[in-house]
Amino acid sequence: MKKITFRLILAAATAILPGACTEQVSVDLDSTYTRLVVDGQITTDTTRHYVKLTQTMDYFSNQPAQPVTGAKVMINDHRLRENDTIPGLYQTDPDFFGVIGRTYHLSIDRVDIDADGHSEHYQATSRINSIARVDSLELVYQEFAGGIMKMWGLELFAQDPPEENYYLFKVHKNDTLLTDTIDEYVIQEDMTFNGNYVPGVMVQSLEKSKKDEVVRPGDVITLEANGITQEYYKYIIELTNEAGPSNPLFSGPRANVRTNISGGNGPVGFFRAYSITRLSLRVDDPYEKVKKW
Amino acid sequence: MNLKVILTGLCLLMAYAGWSSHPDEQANKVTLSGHVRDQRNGEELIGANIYIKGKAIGTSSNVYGFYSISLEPGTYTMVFSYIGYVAREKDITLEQDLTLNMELQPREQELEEVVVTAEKPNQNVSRNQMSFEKLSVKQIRKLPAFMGEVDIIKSIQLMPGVHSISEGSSGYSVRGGSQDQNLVMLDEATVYNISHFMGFFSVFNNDAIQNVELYKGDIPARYGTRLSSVLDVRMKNGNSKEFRATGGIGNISSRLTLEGPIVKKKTSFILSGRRTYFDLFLPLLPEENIQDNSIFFYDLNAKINHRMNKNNRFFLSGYFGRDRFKNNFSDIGYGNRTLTFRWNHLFSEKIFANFTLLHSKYNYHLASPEEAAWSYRWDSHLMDNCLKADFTWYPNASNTVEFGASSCYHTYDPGLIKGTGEESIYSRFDLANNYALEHGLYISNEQEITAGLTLKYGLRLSAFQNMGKDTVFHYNDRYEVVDSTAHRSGEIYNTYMGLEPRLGIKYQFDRQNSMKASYSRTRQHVQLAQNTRAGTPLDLWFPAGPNVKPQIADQFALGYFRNLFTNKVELSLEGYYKKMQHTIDFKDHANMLLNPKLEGELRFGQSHSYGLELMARYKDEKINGWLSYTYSKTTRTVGAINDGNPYRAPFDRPHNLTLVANYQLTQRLALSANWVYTSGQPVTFPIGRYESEGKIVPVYSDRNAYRLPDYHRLDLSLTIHAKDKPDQKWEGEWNFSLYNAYGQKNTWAMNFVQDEQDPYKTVAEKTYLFSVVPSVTYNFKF
Repeated sequence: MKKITFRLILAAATAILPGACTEQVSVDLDSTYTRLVVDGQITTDTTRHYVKLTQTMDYFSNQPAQPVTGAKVMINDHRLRENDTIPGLYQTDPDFFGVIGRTYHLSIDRVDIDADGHSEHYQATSRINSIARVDSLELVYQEFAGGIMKMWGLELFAQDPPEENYYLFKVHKNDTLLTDTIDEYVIQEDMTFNGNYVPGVMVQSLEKSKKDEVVRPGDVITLEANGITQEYYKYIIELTNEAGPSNPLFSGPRANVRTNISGGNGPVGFFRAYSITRLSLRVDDPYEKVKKW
Repeated sequence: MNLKVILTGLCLLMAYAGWSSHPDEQANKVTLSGHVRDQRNGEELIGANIYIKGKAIGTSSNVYGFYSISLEPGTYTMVFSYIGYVAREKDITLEQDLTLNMELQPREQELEEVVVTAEKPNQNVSRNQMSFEKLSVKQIRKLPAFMGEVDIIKSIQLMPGVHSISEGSSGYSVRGGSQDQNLVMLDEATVYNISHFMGFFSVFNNDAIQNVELYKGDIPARYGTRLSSVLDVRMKNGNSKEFRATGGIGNISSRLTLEGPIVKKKTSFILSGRRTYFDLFLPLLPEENIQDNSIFFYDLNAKINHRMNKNNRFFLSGYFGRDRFKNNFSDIGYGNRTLTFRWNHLFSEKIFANFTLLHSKYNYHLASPEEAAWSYRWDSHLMDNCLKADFTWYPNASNTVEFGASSCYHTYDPGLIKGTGEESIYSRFDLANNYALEHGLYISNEQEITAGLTLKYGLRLSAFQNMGKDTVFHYNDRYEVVDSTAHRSGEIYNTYMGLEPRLGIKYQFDRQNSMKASYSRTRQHVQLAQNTRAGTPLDLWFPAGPNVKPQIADQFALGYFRNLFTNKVELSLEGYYKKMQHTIDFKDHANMLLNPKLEGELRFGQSHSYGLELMARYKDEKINGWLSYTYSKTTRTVGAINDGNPYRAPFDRPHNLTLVANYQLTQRLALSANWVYTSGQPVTFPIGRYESEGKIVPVYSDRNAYRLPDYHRLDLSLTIHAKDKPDQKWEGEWNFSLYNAYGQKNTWAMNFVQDEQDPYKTVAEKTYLFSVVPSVTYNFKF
């Protein structure tokens, strides 16, 4: 929601920039040393949870990241197994699930990213936080500023718990995750409404201009709400800022995204643990509720 | 430095200033004083030269056009001169104190029967003031205007040592400083946000402005509160002779100014308004949703002044401006308000005093539509209320002493958020207000030692006091809040006090050559929480306090000044070195918006700046303009930013070349051009990448290790003056401008993005704002 509001403000502000244009240019960039990249998660679902290990590359390398194979990856005392077909992907057993309130430790060994003949040790920690009690969901078709932006908003009714909470919202349509990249996540902290009832607030959206997001009668729309840590919340903000465009009005100086991985020589990436709750609705008429702004 | 030594020394010097000449001699002297004014409209001329013909003895008029000079009785030929005006000579016989008000004629007008001096003023050489730019509104008006809006801020950005902080922005950096280190005053009231429309236009309406002075260094002791520069903008007093209307219609806005006497030669007024008007056409659009949108800005300047008698004069002036963008899903509004009340009083021919009451307020709001549960309104403001007293004492012809005091009460309300919907999810969220008192006390003397040597020495004492009600957080060395202290309402819980010595020396070899050197220390207690380069109107000003030390700058400057061809050509070469302590920068990914623990996002360090500024100015009625080149370097070392290593300051742009030329083709036709070339802004670029949750994430270089491509731009304008008809008062003028005449696609932002087809491919993409921007404006006068 915060992101949507901000995007709209940005749209309003940039609307007055007369004829701003973009074009591709070539830029010479330097290289840097190789770092270990960790992308791992544990949730409250019972499934194969994963930790993906890759290497950093030159910025214009233009190919998939090189996997890091043969590592020893542990979560608490559970050893993850490297996938046979996808190198660098380490998975838990299929009956593994995370528990709310528990802390998870990731440790990685038998990796020699700097190729000096000695393997390095890496580690990370994350805790599974609880999530709000979600009551119900509404799908509302909305148009902004005479149709500049057309979307279906998912409006949530829920009770925010008294403690500090950080939410992450994803959306599925007929079992397909639509928000499959981190910049499509919607995150929200409850600083300004802590402990209040949330009476129908747009927390995710499906854009009409995107083919796979158009809502038709009979579709099942599922909202996934995650209770995340403050650190992961900040990681998402930093990452979406740094991986997205910047401009002199709204963007601070570029800076590396935080990581919760320690050890070795400057590892990057994130290990996150979070809780999941889901709420679905079946669409009869996608235009039953309409709002125009 | 030892305070006692400095103060004692200063007292001695002041005593020397007052009684340096023999007491008998002193008693015999008589004083010539008065005002220098524009003959057409009675406006006071600021900084006019008054001197005895053939001698180096002279003075200049102060900001109220007042001058005073003490001489031995006798007969003199006095010369009154002012840039852009015909100099006048006047023979006087001084037997007793004499008041002489002098009116000067603008150069472009037909000459009447007055004694004229062909020589132009040589203030470039003779003024004991360096690192200084004075702009005449007449000159500014001739420059090519962006979208037809003639703008003093855009003109200032063409001066050596000054550059725009971002394409099209009203923000400017002076000698490597950040934009909040510039003091901007309108009739002495601080203007906190000088921008309209995200910076593309400034709040200054040219038609209401009389005088603009910019100090980049060698800042006089009467100014304080900011580190890098002072922009002193004075409003017109209003034509005291006849009623006049001026105005214009442009692409963006229309203007109208009315001025005239209320009581002839006693009371006059000026009322000047400007407003954008394209939102007035919105209701004509077919889209229902857009019809009730708002997008506009306006300015209103008003001033009234009254000359009660020879010794007392009153001024009341105000500025009111606002920007508003409102559509169905967002509403942003912001604006400044300033009010100034002044009383000029002559205690004697030798002591000029001005007492001022000041009020300044800046506020903004941000709101969403009112019906939704997530609707909110966010309000923020800051406010100054000040008292000031300034005195100028002219003890004799070789000394001018200035002293004064000021006190301000600051209120900062960083933000209050309220839900506006019926079933709002928002609790009231209120960031605590800050209150502070700021005081200044100064004394300075400008003293002529010998015919060529003048000294300027002054001292400013500045103090800043934080006042309750407030809660001060205590931070540990990881910038986390560990504790807090609550202070009750009205309690002064923190005081910063410091001395700011200001020194200047000028040695004039002859009428065409001089050397100047200066040192100034400046302190700043209020700053902008601005992490972005150009900033937005939502950036907050925040005060120094227990967690934020005042910023301190020491600047040394040395310059050589030379005029050629009877002052038609002015050359100057200035070098400076500036060291700044307690420089503030922001930690990586700082959270600046609505953060009650904002101080935890700050990092402190120091910065250095040095540079060389070359200026060549050509002044002639037909052709005039300037060429300036600046080389400069600014480095910061702040906390753990960039792993504690020095990095280029965001406004470090080593090379800066500016060419400005005006050519009066015929009586009615004028051509104008300016070309700017600047090194690219320092930026941080990716040097590696990795993948995380479906996105490619950059690994960055050291802070500001790269630069954007160099910036250059040519602007052109053509002004056509309508034929003068002797029986008509109406004067019209067309101005056609081309901004960025050769359509240079200057990089505003450089982004590294994932290709839409191939997610593993990354490309560099530049954003530019403008190609060629033509505009037309019609100006009129009657």
